[in-house]
Amino acid sequence: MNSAASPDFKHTVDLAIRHVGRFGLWAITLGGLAFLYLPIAILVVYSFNASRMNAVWRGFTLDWYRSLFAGVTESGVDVTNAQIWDALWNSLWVGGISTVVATILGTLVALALERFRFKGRNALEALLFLPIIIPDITMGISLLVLFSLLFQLLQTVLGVRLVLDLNTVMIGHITFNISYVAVTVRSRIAELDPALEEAAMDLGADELRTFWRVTLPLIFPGILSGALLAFTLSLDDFVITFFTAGVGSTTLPVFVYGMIKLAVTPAINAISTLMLLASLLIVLLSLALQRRST
Amino acid sequence: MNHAIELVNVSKTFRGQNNREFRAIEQLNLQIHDGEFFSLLGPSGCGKTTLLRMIAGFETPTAGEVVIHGEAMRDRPAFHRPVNTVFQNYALFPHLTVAENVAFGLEMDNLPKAQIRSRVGDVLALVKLNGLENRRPRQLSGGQQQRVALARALVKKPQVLLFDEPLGALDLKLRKAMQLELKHMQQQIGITFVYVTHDQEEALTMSNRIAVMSDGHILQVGTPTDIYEEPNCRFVADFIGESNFLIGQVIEQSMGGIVALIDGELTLSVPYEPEIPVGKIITLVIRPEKVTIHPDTSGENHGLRGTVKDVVYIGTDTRFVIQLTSRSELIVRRQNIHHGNLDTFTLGEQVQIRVAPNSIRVLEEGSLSPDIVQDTINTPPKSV
Repeated sequence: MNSAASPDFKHTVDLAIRHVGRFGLWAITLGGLAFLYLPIAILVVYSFNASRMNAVWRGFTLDWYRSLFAGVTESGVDVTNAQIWDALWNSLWVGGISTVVATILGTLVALALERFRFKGRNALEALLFLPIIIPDITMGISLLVLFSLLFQLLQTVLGVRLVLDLNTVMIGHITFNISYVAVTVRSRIAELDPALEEAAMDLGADELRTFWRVTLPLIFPGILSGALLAFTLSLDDFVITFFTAGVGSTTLPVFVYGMIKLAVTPAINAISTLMLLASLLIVLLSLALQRRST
Repeated sequence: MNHAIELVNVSKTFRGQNNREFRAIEQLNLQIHDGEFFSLLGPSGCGKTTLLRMIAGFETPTAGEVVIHGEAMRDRPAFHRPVNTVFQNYALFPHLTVAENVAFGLEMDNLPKAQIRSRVGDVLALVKLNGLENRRPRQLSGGQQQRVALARALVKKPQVLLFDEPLGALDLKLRKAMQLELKHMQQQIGITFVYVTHDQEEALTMSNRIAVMSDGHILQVGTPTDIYEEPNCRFVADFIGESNFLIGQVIEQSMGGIVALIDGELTLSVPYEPEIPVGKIITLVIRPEKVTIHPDTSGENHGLRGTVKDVVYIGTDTRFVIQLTSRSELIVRRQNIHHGNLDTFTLGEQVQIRVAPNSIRVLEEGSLSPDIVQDTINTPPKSV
């Protein structure tokens, strides 16, 4: 037994393990990032691909973007700009209105749940999470069933004929967005020190002025993130929109899906890249606003 | 006497989960005089903060009436009461600057802008915060935040200012400085301060009068001297400062004094005027600093004796633990007024103890454990 060599040997092993560990840490980090972002990177890169086929790289082009804005396609697939812009406009309209309505209602729900003790509070709390938990497909189908029953009833009772259109999509989006907004805003209200509202009242502010001058400014970052989350979810939503949209009330995701059925072209990559850019801008905006307001 | 605040038979019951009731305040009566510095003192959970919150209007009494300057406050919400509060953790509005925080209350009164500006300037000068008007609360030290909270409440010129343990978050040095500053400020502006604290030293330092609370009741109301020198019950004696408690039995009453038998071993004569039956169990309260110890040199028979059980040097004082009887110890504090020039005592040494009889407070409460009663009957007392 060589007792003098063994500490040296142990030291060498330790060092080696540390090197492996350091390398491993980098490898795992990079691997994880690649797993998350490689598909997106490929999508962005191929939106500039001169080839019609996604798999082969034929050189850089801006044709696909140009085609979105001009409706010109050398490839022969008809992507008329009018349709795309209609779909985009529909998406923004539905997203905007459903965000405003859901933000107001969701904030009120959050305030009620945090501030008041009332009968059925626990039940409401549980119900609030339901639209978040249940699968989109269930939600979409149940809304579809509801709308058709309602329309039938309206027609037989009042003689009014209603059909699925952009308004039904909007109602669907409001339905699930209320939950997301309420949950987001609630966590912000929970962090709010109740003594702040008491201090406002102590200084002579009645309930309404306390709300406008103290409560609302302090929970505003929560409301804003709730609203942006709602807007993003609405822009993103495919399943529920698919079930509640009527003819001619296509949103952008539904339209893109329709295009894929014809052929997967880099034009889709171009649209997706633009949507990605828009989402990124919204997120950055919300981060900037939140940083400023806290 | 003009009362700033009167609490008449006030009770407060909270209903917790499972409808379990918790009585925070029970049938409480209290008068706070106009212009005094009044402290509500007690351990946490004694109901002092609940009491303050009922005065401020954040809690409604379950029964009874809160009266401020002669007006019943029953249906008056917090924003219509002539009081302002300095909160425990200041509760400054984080989204407003120092000046905006202080101006908030005046804006709620819809005062003209110019007047608000001048009053905010004045009060910030009073609390020595000029130059920090545009800072956010987050950018201030704890002491500065405390001053903003004070300024925000003071600027409304309330008749009564309420404080909910406002110095609790400050370090000791700053706290002591703020205590004196608050006291001087109260004397200067002359409005009523109602101050909630669990720190007995703080209450003694600042108050004109103190109410000692426990379990939703007020045990004693009095000046700091009253409360310290003449506690009316064991809780007050124990909570305010340090006390030795000797449980004894009255064996004789004559000429405005009683003779008490301690642990069946030792008799003490103390002045006590009220009628008290012989055989009654009493508690004698002796403050450690009112007792002196001396070397047991004389062979004299009178005086108390005990053996030194422990000596602890704590800088300003030295604490001696003296075994007085087989069951009772006495803590003695001696101020270290000279260095190296005082009698030293060693462990196990027999010493003489002197205490002025009128420094011993008699409380008609306490109970003996059964075996002591037995001892008292069986062994004749040793005469002192």
